[in-house]
Amino acid sequence: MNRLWSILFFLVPILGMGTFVMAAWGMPPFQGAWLPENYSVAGKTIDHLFYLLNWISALIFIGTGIVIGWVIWKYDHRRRDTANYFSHNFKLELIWTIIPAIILVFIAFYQMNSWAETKMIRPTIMQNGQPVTKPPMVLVMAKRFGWEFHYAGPDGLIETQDDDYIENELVLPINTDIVLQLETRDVIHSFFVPQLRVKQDIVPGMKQFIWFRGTATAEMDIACTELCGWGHYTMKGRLRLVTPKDYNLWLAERRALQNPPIDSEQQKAPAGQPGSE
Amino acid sequence: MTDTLKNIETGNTGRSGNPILRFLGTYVFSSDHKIIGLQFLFSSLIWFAIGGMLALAIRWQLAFPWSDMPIFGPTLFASEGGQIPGVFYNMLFTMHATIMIFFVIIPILSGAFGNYLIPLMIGAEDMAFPRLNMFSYWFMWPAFACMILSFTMPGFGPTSGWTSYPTLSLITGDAQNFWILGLIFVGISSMIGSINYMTTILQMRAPGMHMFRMPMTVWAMFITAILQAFALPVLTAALFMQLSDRLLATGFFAPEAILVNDTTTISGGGEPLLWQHLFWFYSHPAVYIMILPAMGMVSDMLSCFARKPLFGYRPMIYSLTAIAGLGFVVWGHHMFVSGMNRILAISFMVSTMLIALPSGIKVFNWLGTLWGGRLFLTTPMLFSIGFVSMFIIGGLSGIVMAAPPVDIQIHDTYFIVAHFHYVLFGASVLGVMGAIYFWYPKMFGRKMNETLGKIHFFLTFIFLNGTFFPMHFLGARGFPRRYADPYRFEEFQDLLPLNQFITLCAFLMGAAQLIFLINFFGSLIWGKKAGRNPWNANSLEWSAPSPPQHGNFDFQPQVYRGPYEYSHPDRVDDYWPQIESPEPPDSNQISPPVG
Amino acid sequence: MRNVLLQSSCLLVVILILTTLTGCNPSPEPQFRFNRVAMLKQEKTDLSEGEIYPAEYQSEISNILTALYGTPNEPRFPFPLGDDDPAHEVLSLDNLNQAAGPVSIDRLHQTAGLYRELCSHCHGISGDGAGGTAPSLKPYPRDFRLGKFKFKSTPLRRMPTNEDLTRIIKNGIPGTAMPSFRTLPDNEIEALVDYVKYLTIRGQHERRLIAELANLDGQPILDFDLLKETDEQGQEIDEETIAENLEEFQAQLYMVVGEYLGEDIVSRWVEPEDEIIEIENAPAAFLLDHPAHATLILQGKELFYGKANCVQCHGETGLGDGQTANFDDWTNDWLKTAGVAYEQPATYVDFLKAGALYPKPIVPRNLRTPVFRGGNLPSDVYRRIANGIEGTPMPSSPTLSTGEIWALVCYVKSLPYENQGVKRNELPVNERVVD
Repeated sequence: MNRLWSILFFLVPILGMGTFVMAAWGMPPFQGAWLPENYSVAGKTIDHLFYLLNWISALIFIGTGIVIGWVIWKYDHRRRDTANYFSHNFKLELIWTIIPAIILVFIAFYQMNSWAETKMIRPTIMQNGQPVTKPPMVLVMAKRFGWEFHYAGPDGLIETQDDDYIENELVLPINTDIVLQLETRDVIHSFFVPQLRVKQDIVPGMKQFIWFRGTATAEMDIACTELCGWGHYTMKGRLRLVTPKDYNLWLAERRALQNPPIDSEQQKAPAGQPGSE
Repeated sequence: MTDTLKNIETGNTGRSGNPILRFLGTYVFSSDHKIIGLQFLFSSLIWFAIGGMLALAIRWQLAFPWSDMPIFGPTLFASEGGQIPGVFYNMLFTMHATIMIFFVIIPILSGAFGNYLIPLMIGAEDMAFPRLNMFSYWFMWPAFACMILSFTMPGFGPTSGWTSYPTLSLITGDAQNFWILGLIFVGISSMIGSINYMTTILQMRAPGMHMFRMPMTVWAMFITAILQAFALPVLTAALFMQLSDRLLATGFFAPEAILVNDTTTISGGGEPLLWQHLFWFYSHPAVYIMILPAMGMVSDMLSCFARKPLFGYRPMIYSLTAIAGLGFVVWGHHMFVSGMNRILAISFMVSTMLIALPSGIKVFNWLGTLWGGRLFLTTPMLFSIGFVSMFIIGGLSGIVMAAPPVDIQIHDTYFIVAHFHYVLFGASVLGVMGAIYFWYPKMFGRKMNETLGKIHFFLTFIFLNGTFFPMHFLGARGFPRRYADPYRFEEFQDLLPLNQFITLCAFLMGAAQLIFLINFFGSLIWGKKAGRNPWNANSLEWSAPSPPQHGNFDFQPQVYRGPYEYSHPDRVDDYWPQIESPEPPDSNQISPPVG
Repeated sequence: MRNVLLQSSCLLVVILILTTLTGCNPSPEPQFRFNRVAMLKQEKTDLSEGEIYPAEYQSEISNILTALYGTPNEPRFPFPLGDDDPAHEVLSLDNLNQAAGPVSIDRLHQTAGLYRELCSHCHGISGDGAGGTAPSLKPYPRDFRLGKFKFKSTPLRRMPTNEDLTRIIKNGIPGTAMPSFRTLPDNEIEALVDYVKYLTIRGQHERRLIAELANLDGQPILDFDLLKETDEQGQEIDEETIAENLEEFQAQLYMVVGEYLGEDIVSRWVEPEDEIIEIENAPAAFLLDHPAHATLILQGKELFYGKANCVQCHGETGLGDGQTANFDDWTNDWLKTAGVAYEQPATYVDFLKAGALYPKPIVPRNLRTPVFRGGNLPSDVYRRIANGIEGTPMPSSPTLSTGEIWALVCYVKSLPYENQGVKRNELPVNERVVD
């Protein structure tokens, strides 16, 4: 009977690792249940970290799992008359304190750069020979329950009258450093694009900035990942990454919409007091 | 049970001849720590059933979105074809979390086992403050009332999640007020309990019971009590602030000009992030409040059934202390992407990495305890090994998400859900189950059925992994938490079959708990009679009668050694109770009767 | 104590069994909710105090509507003229079937139940604007049954075009709880548009039938006794009477189906595109970088405070605080009938019980936020000013010339940015922008 239980506990690391590997390689029934395809530069580092940490965890998981299965297999009370009487082993304890400590310190330092790049060092542009932080190209206004995307108009600044505004559809160029300014009208929302490895909570009363650089054209979902009320699950936006050329075409099309058809006769006499008759 | 009755009747509780009053005095308004412990145990188990039902309702919606939901559909939403509204789903997960955390795990660990075991294990007659102890249970009842009342409010309950982040929690329905009040009462109850435990452990130990002769259970309860005493005031303050924000428009957590429902709120000047800091300052230590007592109890069970001293007793205590201490400075890892200072995230990451170390040491020590033992795989032992096995998974996934860059991807996804269910269900609940099987003979004088217990463990273990393990994959994919209908997103549509599998496992896991229910109540009547020490364990409570009378011991306990002297080479028996005198029994000395 | 535990365990098992049993009974098939508010309103206006319409009317109307329109799971539509019926231009049964029914679980391979998946939480299964979340919203979700739509390209009291409805579903209504469904495929939006029309026509029809009750004088709406060929004693009725009866029944039937449906309700939905108000070209000064742009804004400002009198409702500062005690038509529909003060809910408690939502006053738009419900393109704002907004106090403006309307659009569009140079603390209080 003990051996059966031993097998049950052996199964934990075996099945655990097995399913993990199956999921990572997209084998049925776990196809698609893993990190989605990555379309951003910073995402590569994040994925690398994810795999690294999972491999380290896997080693510990398998090691400890096998020990648990093994002790149940080996130290069955029916096969032994007495237990070994010992309560500590200083050397062993020192080893299993120091080695994990080293691993943890390594992990801690190893990831700092990635965090700094994704969240702390904002892309710059050159202005008058000086690097300055890149201004945001879109203001993302989250609200219950949708996303407003306010594109900077011809003046290149957001929050001015020539802004173009489109709901739930974000179009952005690839191979460009993109900076978004995030704000919310009401409660806390969170801007999440799984394929770009981008997530940022948007707190009322605060401006948040995020940046990323797309690597390939694609279409993906934008999701809200901070509970925002009864329609939380409806906060779906669509993000299209397009080539810079297509982006400019699209932008021109949008901007053309901003102005109604203009009376060509009056163009000659602009001060002609429209509607004065 | 009759033994309990008899023992208690011979105590000092028979204040009145009126049988009703006597019943009330003995079982309802009792100041006996054992009765209070049992009261906590029973009310927690009832809430456990309710919380479990809510969990199954959540799973139903995720597997069969918007279909006719059993029980809730026909009773509440018949006119909509049994289809729940999205806000009802929010209520489901809010109340599931609240109930499971504040009405099940914390009260069953600190309330039930803390109360029952601390005086027995340290050889005391009762708690230091028996009346206060009684109040700590009776403060749970206003909390119960508030929670039940909140179910009757529009929307059928609070809907802003158990984390209750403003500004959402400031604009949701009135049920939120009762939710806040309920938590305040729970807080008072825990606070009173923790003061009592600390005093009892420090002041009421039997002669010879040094601090370093206390079983791990008592140590864990002691550390937990300290955690509660220092973390709870912060939560209580934050809750009052949120309540006054809601009722008096004080605006502690509300910035200016939030436009909701076509109305601009004017009260402002506050900061939503403040709540998150205050909340997690309590709620991260609360995570340890929910696991440390289980760790302590599992240490005792592992040592007992491995018939071997606990490996590294002192390092275990030091790591407990380290976890508790570091537990106060890691709360920010819940907030990596919240918008708090991004440099601060690094320091919280480092402290989180540090706290993994003592947790790891504990796991290694448990393995060291098992190694070279003589294992009796009783039901409590299986649950304890299950605890260790599941805690490893929960702990390791914790390290993965402690890395802020990785947390960007998996924050607020099912990866998090998988992680904390492995720790809270996989570890804490398995530990609690094991503890119930282990101390049941002491509580009721009868043993629970071993065969049923093993079947219960087997099914729970299988289905808990079937339920929670695939959630890691969902989370890696970015599958968000708290979505009533994630399949509205193209991204997540193909994850429906996996969710249906999870739901199937969850329902089977729920069904497996019926075996426990039958075993628990059936054993009250048909269980095999247990003597004082059915498991041949060392610690003090096993020397008292089963169940112990009012005042616990029928002799004055005197402690001669630590609680883990199993298989001592100098002894014929493989155990060496703490009270057994090293000298040959003196005929004058009072020794406990055998059996 | 053991007995107590035993009893409680038995009780627990009983509770478990009971809950499982109720859980095994699936909900009954959903039905459209009867418009009890309209019936109550009819009682208050037609009948003397305390008198009510017999309950048979309610079930009879429901039966007639079910016969004509089916149920939420199986929608039908009466096409009295068969394949030639003009109603085919209005909606298609295939679209209705795609939108109706319970939510399909497997959305990878089929889409059905769109309305209940996406809309009914707020708009209610019957399109009455009283779904589960409706009471907490402001403004309330649209009640389709009045047949009034706010944001459209056609004049007041005309039906919106397909394009108008599509635009609302695609863009949502910024500033309200109506989200944007831009991410839905076009065919699904089309299905939803048709379903909205279906619910509207059904609701309009229901209201008409209820309104007719006063003329019936206790008689059934459709008297099937008229079709009998024998009288109560079993005697055969002479042919003349049979013919007369048949004629009368046909008249009743015509009233129920033909007149209202064909001529009065559906026909208004046929080709509303003909009625679209064309927008004339804007003056060149409308362009932001045009030298005369500031002049145009000034002209608009004058109109705002003067001829167009926008200031009356939208307020001196444009914050929408001029006039706040109005209600929209959907509320007024019954509130005016109840003839009571909004401050005294006791006087209209009947209506609240009948399913009416608690009245909330309509607020004029705060023009200082760059959020326009009907869309923020200049042409959208133009239409709001020119056509007015159906169901609200916002009037159409026949007296304004095209140029004047464009000037107003120009001014309104500039309002959110008017104070950009001003320090924030000098702005009106509820204008402070979150940042």
